[in-house]
Amino acid sequence: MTLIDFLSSPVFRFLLFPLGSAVLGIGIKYVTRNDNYAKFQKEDLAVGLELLLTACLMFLALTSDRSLQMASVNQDLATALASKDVPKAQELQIKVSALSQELAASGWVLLAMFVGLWSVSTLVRKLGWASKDEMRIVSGIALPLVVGILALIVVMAGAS
Amino acid sequence: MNLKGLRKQFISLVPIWFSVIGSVASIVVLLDFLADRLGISSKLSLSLASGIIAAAAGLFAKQLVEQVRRLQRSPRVFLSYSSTEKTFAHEIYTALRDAGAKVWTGEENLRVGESIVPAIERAMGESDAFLVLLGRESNANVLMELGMARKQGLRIVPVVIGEAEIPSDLAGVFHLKANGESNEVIKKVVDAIT
Repeated sequence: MTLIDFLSSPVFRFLLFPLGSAVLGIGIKYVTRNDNYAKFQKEDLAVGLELLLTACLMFLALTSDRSLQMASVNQDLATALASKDVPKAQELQIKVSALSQELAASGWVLLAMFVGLWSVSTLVRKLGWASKDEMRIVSGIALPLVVGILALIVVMAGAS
Repeated sequence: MNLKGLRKQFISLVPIWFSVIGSVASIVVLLDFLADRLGISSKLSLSLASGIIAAAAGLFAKQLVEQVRRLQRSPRVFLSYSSTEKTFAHEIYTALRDAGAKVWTGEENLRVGESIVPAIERAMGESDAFLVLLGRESNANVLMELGMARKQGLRIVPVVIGEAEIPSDLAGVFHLKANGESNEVIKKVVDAIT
């Protein structure tokens, strides 16, 4: 696999890139902190909800890409049918069918992601704080992180 | 704990219930989609989803039982103090919370612009005891709250700090004196309340 292949693969675009951005964000948060409070805190790792939101928006963009792709394939199909090119029409018909199935599932996945975003953020608000500025490890940091990474994997799987 | 307070506590748990259900549903749908994309059999993904739902339900039921037990045995305390006793009040607040009591303070619960008297009356209505810190300088708000607590028939636990004088209407009430080691006094307060 060449570098260009890797950079354009769904694993990089939809999983490693957002995860890398989150890790860089944590680093920037840490290095720009006031020197008097420069110690790394576990709260710096609380980026799960940002990852989940990124996954939602990426999946939304992916779904609209698929819709545009479907419109284009449909147009090609119409042309193939008009010119009575049966093998091409059959091939395009299979593509349309696959895209329709993906689009049918996309709505539910998007709904699940937004419900997840709402419910996990409510759980963090209600159960995730041990005090005014200290978060609980499981309900405040780990749970959103796990759901965020799961959502990114789903987006990557949806794109590949 | 009175029934009204218990009901209020349960109502406050409703958003948490919905959030847990929402989170589990979301995770199950995402895992199902992933299993479908990765070609994992529907039987396996169904078993995985059932396992997650069962684990979440078990954890939630356990937490609910613990919450009910805690609510049944945890006393609710109204803590009244003036700003001069803020540091000592915060120490008592932390000790009581660590001992499982629910502590109400104006500093934590009152919002700017809110009408004080109805909020205090409501809080006192849900409290089992009224803990008042009496400092050397008498404070109008503390005395007002003391009067309201007496009117509501709350159990009053007075803590006299230093050489402060006890208000005349508390003359017959046994009080704690806080003029020595604060940890000792805090322990006595916690024992008296819980």
